[in-house]
Amino acid sequence: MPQHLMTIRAPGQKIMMTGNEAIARGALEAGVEVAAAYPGTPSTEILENLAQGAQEWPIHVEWSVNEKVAFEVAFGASMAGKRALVSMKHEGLNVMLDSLSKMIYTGVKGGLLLVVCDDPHATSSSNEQDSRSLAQFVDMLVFEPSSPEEAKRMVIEGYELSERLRTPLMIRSVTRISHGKSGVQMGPLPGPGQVRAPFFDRHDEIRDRWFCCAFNHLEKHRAHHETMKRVVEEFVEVTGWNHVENGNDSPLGVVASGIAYNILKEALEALGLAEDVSVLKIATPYPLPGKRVRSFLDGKEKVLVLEEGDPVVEMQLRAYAQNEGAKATIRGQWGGDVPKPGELTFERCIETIGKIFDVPMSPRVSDREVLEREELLSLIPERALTMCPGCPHRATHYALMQALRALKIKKPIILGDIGCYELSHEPPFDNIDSIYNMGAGVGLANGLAQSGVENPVIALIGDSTLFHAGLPAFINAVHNRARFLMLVFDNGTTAMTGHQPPPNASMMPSGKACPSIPILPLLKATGAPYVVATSAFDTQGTQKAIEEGLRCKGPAAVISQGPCALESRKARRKQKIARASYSVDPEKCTGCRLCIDRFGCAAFVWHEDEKHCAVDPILCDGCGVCAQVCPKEAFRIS
Amino acid sequence: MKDRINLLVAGVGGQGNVLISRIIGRALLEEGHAVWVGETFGMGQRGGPVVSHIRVGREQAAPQVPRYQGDLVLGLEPVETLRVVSQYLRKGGEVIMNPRPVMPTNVNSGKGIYPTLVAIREAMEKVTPNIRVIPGTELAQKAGSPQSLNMVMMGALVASGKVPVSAQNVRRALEEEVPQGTEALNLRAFELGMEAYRETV
Repeated sequence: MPQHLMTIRAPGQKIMMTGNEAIARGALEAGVEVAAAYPGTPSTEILENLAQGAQEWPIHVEWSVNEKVAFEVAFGASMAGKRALVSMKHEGLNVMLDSLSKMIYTGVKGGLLLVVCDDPHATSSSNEQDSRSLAQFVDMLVFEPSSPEEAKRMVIEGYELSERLRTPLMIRSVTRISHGKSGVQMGPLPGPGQVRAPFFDRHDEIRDRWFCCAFNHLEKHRAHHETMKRVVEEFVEVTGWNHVENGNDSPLGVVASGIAYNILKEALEALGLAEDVSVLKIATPYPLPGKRVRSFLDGKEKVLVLEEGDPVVEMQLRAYAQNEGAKATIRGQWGGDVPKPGELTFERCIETIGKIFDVPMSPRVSDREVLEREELLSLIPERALTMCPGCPHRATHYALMQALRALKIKKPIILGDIGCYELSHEPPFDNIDSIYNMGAGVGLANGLAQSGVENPVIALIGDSTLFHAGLPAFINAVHNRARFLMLVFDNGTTAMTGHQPPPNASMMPSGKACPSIPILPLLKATGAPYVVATSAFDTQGTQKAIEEGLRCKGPAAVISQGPCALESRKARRKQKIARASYSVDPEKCTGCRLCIDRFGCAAFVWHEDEKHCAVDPILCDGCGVCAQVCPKEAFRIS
Repeated sequence: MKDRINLLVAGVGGQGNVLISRIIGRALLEEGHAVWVGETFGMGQRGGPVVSHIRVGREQAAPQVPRYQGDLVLGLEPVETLRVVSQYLRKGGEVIMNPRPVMPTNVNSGKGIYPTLVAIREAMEKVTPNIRVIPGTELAQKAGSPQSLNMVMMGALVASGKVPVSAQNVRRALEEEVPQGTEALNLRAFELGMEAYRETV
């Protein structure tokens, strides 16, 4: 049984931790007392781990309705002198930017950290984004760790700095740090008695400390830049986090920030350049330590900048170089030397260094063999992501497609959103016309409906996404009479990120109970002409409701409800309830493939030779929707 | 033994890659090795491929094994093993593989063909002759649950001697990391995997 990493008291011991675990552990060691987040890969585990601390001592850890609110929760706690944390994926930073861009002017009281996890290559995201650019946009210090160990130490140091200089700061992680694992040294945890007494003061040393409006914003803006000057002078220029390696005598230099530093070290070694190139390791990609940059550039002929994301360090470096009349040529992403888009991989790194420093690389594998290996990949069938057996969303998508068939709607416009239900863009449904960001489908449905297109418009949205950013768009639809159907996939959880409880669930991240807000009365209160809830596993009932919603003249909402299959499975295991399993009667199966072509459960196995469908008993979840789909009643409980 | 080793674990979401890398990583760290483990998951929970990169002997390492520099691929699923072998394994590296496929839905909907095991093996032989097939799912069922497949395969990995850890330390890490109440089952699976590997030698 694992002793939890967050609460283990073993100062000095080194333990394997992911970057996210290390960040959470660092915050707990630093005495964080309020933490808030909205789930999003690769950031989710930070708050989940902090919740472990909340089980042992009196701190507040919550899943907020969205990132803007999460930031405000953390900032509010800081106003009362508490150390607070807000974590998010890069897209969440956009959601909270409006609040951040004002509150950064007044600064904080209790230390406040924003942990932003970027997803280079957008493995689990809708875009690639470098959050450091937005830190620069609001003029905020960014710490960028190159390992889980560094991430933890930066969090602890970050709290002291944030409190001393009264400014929030950003810890910028990336997927490879957040989900990477290495040894991290444990420090002491605070005891349950070490909580701060909250205290709020409107004029906290400065008159109208917490005001940022027309009568004083210039003054606040000026004060913020004064603070940032102190951040540079008192921290960025003097901290050992930013340092030069291999002496500063070489005419060749590389400036590397965050994970790029680790990749660089391995690449230099592989190229036999480990001793020949000066390295400036950057831990504060914004703002850069100008004095150190200037002395690093002095005497250099070529300087390469390596960083994950956009050329944030590079552009600042170029500005310093120009200002100083430095002779060095600066190379990097902006100059087109590092390929984009996508992740900064070892291969990209070594190729760039080899090219720029004229070091011939001896290839490990001949071109012919590379081609041969790529050919091997052609044997592999694509493994598309899919909804699980027993997923209520698959049943709802089936009901939706049946309703469209019944109403003879050939070309609906179906706007998707963020969550497991978006997986229906794969066969057999292949029914989504657009996907952008949280809540955008409902907003776009407003515009398409108002455009006058004749096609029926349908917006798909999950429960958690509805609370996050869908509600204002639906209220807008009622208020402005936009005619479309909003189909809510309500499985009671934020499934795609690993089952975090949304506001319609009654559980805190620590497992404690809290009030839930049901969706049906909430949507009914808007006065929309048609709002009903159905059971997702009753496909006929859901189909009828969708048909009714599509006939409705105003905005309509159908809430299709059913628990996430993975959650039901967990509950069954806990209660030791056996799972039902379906099988196919080969006598009754005519091989019509309706079940595969219209429903396509991941537990189905098609036997081409015998031309009939079967069910994998290990995968079957026993939801029974297949029995509703088959016209020949070939599926039976076994 | 070489001081720097690159291991890869290939599988499909739900097969338990992450637990393998967690246990092996822990045992390595406890024996004083520098370890960096990288995982590609995210949406893996929805049946996508999952690859774990375990880099031993480096403090500052690229988070993923560089192309064609893998020393060993531990495969929980055949085509996923082939995918990782072709992208990462060095020429002549070792492969330890479970032969039971997890069918992609595309294959069922007639959009793809799952290659035969013979074809998969022949393809991998273009990279290396060192391929060992361990009947992981079968042994996991014998241990008491098909879900202990990952521990069977981890047993085979440890028995290969390619990871600088003692079986005793791995057992201890296993007991610390698996869910309470499943220790005996998972240890049984681990021992079956060790034995199965030895029988292939």
